[in-house]
Amino acid sequence: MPKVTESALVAAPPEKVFQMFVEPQRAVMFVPGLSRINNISPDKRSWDYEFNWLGLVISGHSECTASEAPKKYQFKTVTGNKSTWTYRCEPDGANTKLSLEVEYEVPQQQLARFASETVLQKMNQNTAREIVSHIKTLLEP
Amino acid sequence: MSIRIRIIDLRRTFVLQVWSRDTDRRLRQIWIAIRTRERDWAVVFCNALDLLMDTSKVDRQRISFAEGDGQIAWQRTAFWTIIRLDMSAFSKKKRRLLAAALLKSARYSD
Repeated sequence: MPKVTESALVAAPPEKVFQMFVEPQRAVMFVPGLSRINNISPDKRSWDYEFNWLGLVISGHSECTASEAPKKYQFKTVTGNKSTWTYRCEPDGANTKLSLEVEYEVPQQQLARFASETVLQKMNQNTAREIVSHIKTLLEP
Repeated sequence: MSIRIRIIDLRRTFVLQVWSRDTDRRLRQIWIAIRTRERDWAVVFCNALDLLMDTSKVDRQRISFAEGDGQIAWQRTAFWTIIRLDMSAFSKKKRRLLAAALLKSARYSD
């Protein structure tokens, strides 16, 4: 599967950065286009998501596959085009190197709409960059 | 399992940003929320601020946050609610992101 990665140095300890991921609903605050997280399981290991994309509501289901505080948080979207999102927090002095890796299936039916796989990769790269930038902004003064 | 696609989001509240002033020190915005159903704005915004890891204090139709340097207030009328956001804390980039996150909450949270 193709993947995109983004990273940034965040002026906060890894424990604080990791707190951004443990509450699934918090993702609405920093993921572009993500409008709702619903039906969170009591152990916070699965949830439904809704994206609002140009007025269309796209909903699906996600499952957390790794939560190793404060180092790694991973979840998978298990509906539609599957993807795996992995956040890693590595200490760097008093700061944290935050990285996000998104592995995704290329949607063959929808590919014609995007014209090329390269365009899709660029869109995903931009989204990952925005997410990492938003987390950094929220955690810094 | 497959994803679901809907054209109309019936749970959404229509909230329009009608005015904005964004300077180096302060961000102010006014939103209009069309009243299709009763909403407890204190709960909506307190939950959003909690997710943003900020502490908030509710005082009737006003919430203060960012140690008093941020305020969000609402005023109900017969057909819509006027919401005023005022922030003088944080960096310009962070203020914009917080404003966008609060607006998203006003539109989509239940």
